[in-house]
Amino acid sequence: MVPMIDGIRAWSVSRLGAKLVALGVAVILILTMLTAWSVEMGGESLRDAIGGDSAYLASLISTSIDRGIYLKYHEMTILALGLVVREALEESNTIFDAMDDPYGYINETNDEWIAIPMQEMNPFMEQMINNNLSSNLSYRLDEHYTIEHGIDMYGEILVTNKYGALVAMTTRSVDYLKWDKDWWKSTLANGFSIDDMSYDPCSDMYGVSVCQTVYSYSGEFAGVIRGFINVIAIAEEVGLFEHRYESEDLRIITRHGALIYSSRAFIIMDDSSDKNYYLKSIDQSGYFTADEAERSRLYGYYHSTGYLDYEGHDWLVLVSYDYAEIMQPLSDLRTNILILAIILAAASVLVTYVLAGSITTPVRRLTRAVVDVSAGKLDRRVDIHRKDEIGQLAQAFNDMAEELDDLYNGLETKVATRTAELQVANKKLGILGSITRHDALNQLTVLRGWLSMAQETVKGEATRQYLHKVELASENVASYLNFTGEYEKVGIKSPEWLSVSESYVTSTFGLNLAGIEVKTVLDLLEVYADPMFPKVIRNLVDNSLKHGRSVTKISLNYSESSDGLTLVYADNGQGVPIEEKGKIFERVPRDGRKSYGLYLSREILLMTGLTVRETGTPGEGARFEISIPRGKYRFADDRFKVAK
Amino acid sequence: MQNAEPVKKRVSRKLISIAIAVIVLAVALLSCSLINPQEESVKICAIIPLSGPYAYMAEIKDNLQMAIDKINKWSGLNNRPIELIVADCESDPAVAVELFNELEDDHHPLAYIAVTSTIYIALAPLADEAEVVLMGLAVAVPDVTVGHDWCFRYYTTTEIETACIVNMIEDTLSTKVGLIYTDDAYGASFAGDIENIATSCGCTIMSEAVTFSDTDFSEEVGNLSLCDVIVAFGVRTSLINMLTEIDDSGYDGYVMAGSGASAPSVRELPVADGVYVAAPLVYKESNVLASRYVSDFETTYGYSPSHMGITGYDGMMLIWGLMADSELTRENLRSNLHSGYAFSGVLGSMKVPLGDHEINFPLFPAVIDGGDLWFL
Repeated sequence: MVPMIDGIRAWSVSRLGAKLVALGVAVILILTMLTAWSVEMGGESLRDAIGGDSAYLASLISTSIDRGIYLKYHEMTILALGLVVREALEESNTIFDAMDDPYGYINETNDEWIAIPMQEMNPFMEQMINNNLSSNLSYRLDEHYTIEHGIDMYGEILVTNKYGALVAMTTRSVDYLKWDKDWWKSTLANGFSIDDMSYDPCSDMYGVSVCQTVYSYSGEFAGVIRGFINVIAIAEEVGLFEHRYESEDLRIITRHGALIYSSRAFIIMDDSSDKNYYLKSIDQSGYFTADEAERSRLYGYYHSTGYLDYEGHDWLVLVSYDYAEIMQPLSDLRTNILILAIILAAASVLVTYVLAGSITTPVRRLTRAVVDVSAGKLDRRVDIHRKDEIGQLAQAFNDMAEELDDLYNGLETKVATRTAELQVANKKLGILGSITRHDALNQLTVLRGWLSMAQETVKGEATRQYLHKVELASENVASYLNFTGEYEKVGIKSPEWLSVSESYVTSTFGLNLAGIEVKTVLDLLEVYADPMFPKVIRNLVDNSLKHGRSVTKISLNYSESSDGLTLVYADNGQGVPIEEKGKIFERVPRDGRKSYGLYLSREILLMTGLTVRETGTPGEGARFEISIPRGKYRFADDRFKVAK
Repeated sequence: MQNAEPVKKRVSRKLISIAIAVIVLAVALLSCSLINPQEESVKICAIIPLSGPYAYMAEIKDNLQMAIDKINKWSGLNNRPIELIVADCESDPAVAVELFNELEDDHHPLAYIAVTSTIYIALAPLADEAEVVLMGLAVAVPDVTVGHDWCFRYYTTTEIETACIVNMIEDTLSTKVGLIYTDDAYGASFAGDIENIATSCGCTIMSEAVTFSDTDFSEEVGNLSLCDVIVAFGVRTSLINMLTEIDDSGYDGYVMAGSGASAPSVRELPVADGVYVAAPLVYKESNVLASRYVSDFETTYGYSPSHMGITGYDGMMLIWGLMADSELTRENLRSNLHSGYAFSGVLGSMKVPLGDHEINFPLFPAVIDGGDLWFL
């Protein structure tokens, strides 16, 4: 793994193509991340849209249920206006009006009624349940819904006269006396009543009681018709809408948290007051997500507000969906994005790799060509013929190389020509100088000879003094001429590697070193210097012999540092006076005569960047340090190299 | 200048690391949708006659699976997929008992489903002993759950069928009623009920019992030829043979049959034409819920389901509805089924009172005409 990463790293650092490929992949990734982010943001919008939609659906269902209940009430109203109901009530009321104690009769009959078990009926009950009005109600309401719609819409349907006594019933009623019932009183007071969800033992059903007053043709109160509505059946009717999602679930809950209806099997009037979906439904309408049965669901809800005259009972209608189902399009989109991103990334790698190759290949060829040119191969050209910028660059490179080649060739020729010319001129100058110097020195020799003879023959002291000064001046001229002869040799030949020890040996040949202890520690040190380097050593030794006075020791060694090497020449003579230290390397008079030895030595050393200075202590000896920078010295044998 | 090269390498290394991290993160994030962790399944074992005389009940398996596929698609049972394990009892109660014991050892399911009265009666005591819910589908014998705390039944009963048929008999003003039936628990129960009710209505009853293996009913039909109405009742294959024989004999009286004749595979037969049946409202075209389900089932399985098969779908949806958000234990299932509930199934809206283990759906008089049912 590590070598692979190192390989990738090295490849990516060194290759433009890899960077281009990485750029392509990075662009794809960025776009993918942006798209994924957009999808996630879209998920929020989708959730809000579906949530709002579900809340609206809940409101429609709520209205439909309230409307369904209201329509059942309307059915009661229509029946209340019907001939059958009115005639039956008129007949019953007439009979009861004729009684001395109709309420006493009702109570007595009621006592007999309730004494009979609910599963049984006496002849009075059977007669009532089979009378014309009961049969009519059963056929028009109960059987109609059951047969035609397959829905058990009605539970008990009954009619009471104005005294609250039962006149008709479709099922065996609990009792005969109804005037003491809340629904009867409420209907009497308001003209109609629609109660909240309750259980009716006669119907063995949970539902709502829907009641309507009945009036006679003369406008007098005649009785009450009551139907017990199976709310579950109404909800089922409403729930027959096409489900938009497979996990769609409808719930209806009373304001106290009792479950009235669920599209799944459910325990009727089960307490849902502690459920998430009940507790979160706090506004009139809205939506939210909550967990149920280990799954997240999106709930839209609405609190019922009734329909027309029916004010409703603030039931909570909940429409919910499995969150994963409604987000499935997003999940699919996410999957498609992933697949597409992988495909695009792969395609991007392939395409950019191919495109990068078209860029990096010629660039690499150009790079190699530049390296070759920089190494001196000026005949190097690149064979790249393109019309783009790389082609232009290649052409420019070829032109540049051509120009350089021409310049170099021309320069070489010129240099060779000029060098030859300079050599000829130099040679001429050298010959001229040598001849002139030789002739001048010869004439000086003649002049000094005549001066010597003149000094011997002249009588006047002043004249002898004058002649002595002329002799000194002629010696100076001879010294100048000798110096020029030496100086013109400096820099004539190319610098070369010279053994320091050998230079000492050859340069001090002929010097009288008797009585002088010479100590040299030079190992196999070599310096890169003008071929007149041995002259430097000779000058130093010569100066010690001439000017050192009591020199008995001479040493020549070296020391190496991080900056380079220092070649040290020292003697134990009188040293160089302090006032002389700044002048000894210049062409200054010394003892009345010009001395150019150290000046010449400095010039010889400067030919290759070497420097010299005098660091001795006056009275203890002269010490000359020649600084040799790195690269200008070496040791012929590595065994003698100093460890750095 | 010396530090430029290392800095360049460090930057490149960082870029590579970031790129790799981004790639990994992107793949991880975007691939989250592909991951669908599977919870442990909830097992339901169904002992169904896939062979033998009751083999036509095998469609219950498809209807069960239809419900399970729908449930598992989005939620499962409390986020756990339902696994249906079907065992063929070969229409033999003894085999059913063996299968029950094996399934209890191997799978220990949340509940069992048994099909047909004969099989159910054999398994009821075992269910009580194992303290596991036994749901009977297409079990028409009434009161089979009485005395069995863990047993529940979902179907119509012979009592309901009988009542419906007797109403039709009364409407025909018939006095002589012929009865031909298969001699099993179902048929015997029906015959008993018919005899009791019809006799109380002043009708005379002539009964002819046949066995599963009988295929020639000419003698029995001939014995009933003088009756005003012949009522045929039994397992599907026998029922078809009975109707065929009646049709072949040229009988010109009223022919009536139990709810089995309302199934598409029977009523679409020419011999069923003109037969009066006690039919569930699931076959009524105006029944939107039922029509929708039948259409979906036909699309999935390629044939029309009968009301017997649809009990499988309703039964499974009933369990799912009652157990949503409940701990998935046998006791909880039993308790919820015992608690009294309402359920809107394909076969109709049912309300089951507290403590009632019998879940019935009503039947209504209808006549078969050209393969369709016309409710009277």
